[in-house]
Amino acid sequence: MNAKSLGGGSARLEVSIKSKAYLGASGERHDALGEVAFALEKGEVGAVVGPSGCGKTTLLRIVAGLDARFEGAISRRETDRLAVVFQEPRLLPWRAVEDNVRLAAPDIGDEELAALLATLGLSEHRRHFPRELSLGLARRVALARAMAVHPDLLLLDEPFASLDNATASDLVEQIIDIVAARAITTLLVTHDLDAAVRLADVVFVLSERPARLAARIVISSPRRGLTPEAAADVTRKIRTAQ
Amino acid sequence: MWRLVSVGVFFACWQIGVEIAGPRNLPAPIDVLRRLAQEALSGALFFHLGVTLLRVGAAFVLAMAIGAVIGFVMGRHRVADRLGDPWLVLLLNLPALVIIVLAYIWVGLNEVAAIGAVALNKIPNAIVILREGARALDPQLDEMAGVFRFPFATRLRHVLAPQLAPYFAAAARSGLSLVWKIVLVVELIGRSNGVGFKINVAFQLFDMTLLLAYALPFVGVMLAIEVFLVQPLERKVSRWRLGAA
Repeated sequence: MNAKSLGGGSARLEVSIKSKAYLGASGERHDALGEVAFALEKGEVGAVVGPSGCGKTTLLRIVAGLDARFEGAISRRETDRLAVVFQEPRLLPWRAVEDNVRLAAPDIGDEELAALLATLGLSEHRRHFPRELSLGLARRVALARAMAVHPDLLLLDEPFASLDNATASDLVEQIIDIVAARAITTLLVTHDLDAAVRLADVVFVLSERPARLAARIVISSPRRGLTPEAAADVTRKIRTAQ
Repeated sequence: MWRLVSVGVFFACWQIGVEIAGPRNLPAPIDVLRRLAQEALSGALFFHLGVTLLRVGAAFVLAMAIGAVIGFVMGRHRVADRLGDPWLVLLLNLPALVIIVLAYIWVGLNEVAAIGAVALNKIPNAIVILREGARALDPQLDEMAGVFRFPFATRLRHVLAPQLAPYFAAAARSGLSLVWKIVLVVELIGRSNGVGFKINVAFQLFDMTLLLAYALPFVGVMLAIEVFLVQPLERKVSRWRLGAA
């Protein structure tokens, strides 16, 4: 594997994976990823979509630096702060909501913390323990934690999985607001095509496992500028490419 | 209320035992209490009790510290586990008496040998429990702490320690009961003070009243430590499981 540092160009993340394989219990090789290469510029939101089990989360783990056993290279700026919203919220169950956020961002001020929690509708839950929260609320806390570190690069792993439509839609809106306001380079992994189309500037479509980059679909008027017809057209293109 | 009833039943059974076995084999509670008061007033009881408690404390802290570190390393690193496991099995199966006698022969009849022998008897037990704790650590929280660059101290205090706390508490509870029992044996064999020494004296003189006068308050102190220190601590570290804000 290679973790490279990007220079002064406009790209904030360059992914150039040749292959990724797992070894089975008896030593047999299971290919998880084939050739996947793309780049994101500052403030750009990329969504990775593909069939279930194709290796989307594996790709995100590689980008996050959590899996170093692959062929290829991931390049990002050394000074860029990284934040990840995992599929499971991964909150510390023995700490209250505000403590979970503070531990990731010890320098955060009281006012900023209060504002962040208010933005995500968590003000009344700030002293609650994670076990007292629904999955949707816990995901928002995970998002608050990620935002509290002022990330330059944000990775979102299936943030809408297991949420009902209304909750997922609310979360999409909140992510759109925050990511756009702060110009955070974002890589979203999701099986939810509607969410991907609503959030992303560019959609990377992966093929069946071992996943290869099957298509790169640029959304011309992304996020709230996208008409329902245009969104439906992009969704159709994604489905065709998969 | 029920605890008082239980204590009352205990003393009633004791008194019945006195009637059956005779006061030479089992002295009456009142005689034991009278002897206990005499020993307390002379200061001997507090001296020997204090010496024993110091040994218990030293051996306990030593065993828990060493056992926790080794257990954690073995639980986290497969090579360390494979290297250490045969040693662990050996120590777990080595009778306490053998360790005590060997310590006195090799190190001499002194405090280092006494406390070291007690600690050595407890260490394998602490290792086994903390190793399980380390194996059960949530790798997802580990990854989260890595991604958000938690400093080492934060990771230790807020990620690792709360996960290990129930295992540490379990090791502490079982360890305390093991340590104080072994300390008495160590004192009985090779020390000239402490509750174990006094029990040996009582045994030599066949003085059952003296034996019980030292055994009962010691058990009482250990019970008090369990009830007023260990159990509240265990409840505190497990508080978050109840969702208390």
